Amino acid sequence: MGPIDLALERTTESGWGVLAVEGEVDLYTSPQLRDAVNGMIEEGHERIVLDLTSVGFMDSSGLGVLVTALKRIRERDGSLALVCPEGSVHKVLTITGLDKVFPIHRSVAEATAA
Amino acid sequence: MLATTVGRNASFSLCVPATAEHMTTVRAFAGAVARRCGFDEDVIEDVKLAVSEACAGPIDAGVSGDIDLAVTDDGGALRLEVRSAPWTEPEQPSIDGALLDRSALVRTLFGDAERLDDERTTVTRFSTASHTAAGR
Repeated sequence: MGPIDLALERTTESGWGVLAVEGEVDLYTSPQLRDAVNGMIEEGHERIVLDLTSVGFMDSSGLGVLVTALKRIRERDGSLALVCPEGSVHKVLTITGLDKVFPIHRSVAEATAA
Repeated sequence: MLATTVGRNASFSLCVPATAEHMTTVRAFAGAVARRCGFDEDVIEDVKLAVSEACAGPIDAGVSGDIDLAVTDDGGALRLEVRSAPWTEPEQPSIDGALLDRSALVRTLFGDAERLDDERTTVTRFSTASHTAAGR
C-alpha cells in the first residue's frame, strides 16, 4: 500500500474561495494542504472556506496548517472558516481548543452566508 | 514486521522507517489491532490519533532509523509503545491558547501517557481503559 494523497478541489461561492479536502491529513499529506491554501492566499483570496467534510482523519500536522493559514489571513483582515461535521476531525478541533478559534459550520452554504 | 502471540496478552509490533510516507500504515496497523481486540470506534479513532502524534513527533523532528510501535492486548486494555531515536519536539504553531503540542495531545487522549528519554531512545507509552470494564 502506497501513501495516499489528498484530493483538493477549488471553487468559489458567494465571493468566498472554497477548498474541498478529501482524504487523511497527517505529516505526509499536510504539505499538500498547506500549498493549496497558500496558493489561494497568494492569489488574493481574503475569505476562504476549508470544507473538511470528507476528511476522515487529521492530526496536529494538519491543525498546524490551519493555524498558520489563519494567521496569514488575519494579517490581511480576511476570514478563514471551516466546514466540519461531527466526527473525528471535529473532535480533534474540540480537544485542542481550535473550535473556539475557527468559525465551524455544517455546510459550505452556511459558511459563505455568515 | 508482525509478531503475534495467540490469546490473552497478544502482542503486535510494527517497525517502519522514520519517514512521513508510512503514517497511513502505522495508523491502519494500530486501528486494526484495536478493532480486533473489540474496542468501539471512538476508542479506535483515539488510538489512531495518539499513535499518529507519537510517530509524527520523531519523524517531524528528523530522527534517523526506524520507528518501533508495539501494541499489547493486556486482557481487555491496550498498551501502546512508540520507540525511536531521541528527539525533541519542534516548536509548533500556536494561536489563541489552542493546544497543538503533539505530546500534550497524546496526554489529553490517554491520561497515563508518559515519555521516557535516555541517550539512545525516546519512548512514548500510553494505554486505553479496559473495554471489558466498560461493560462490553
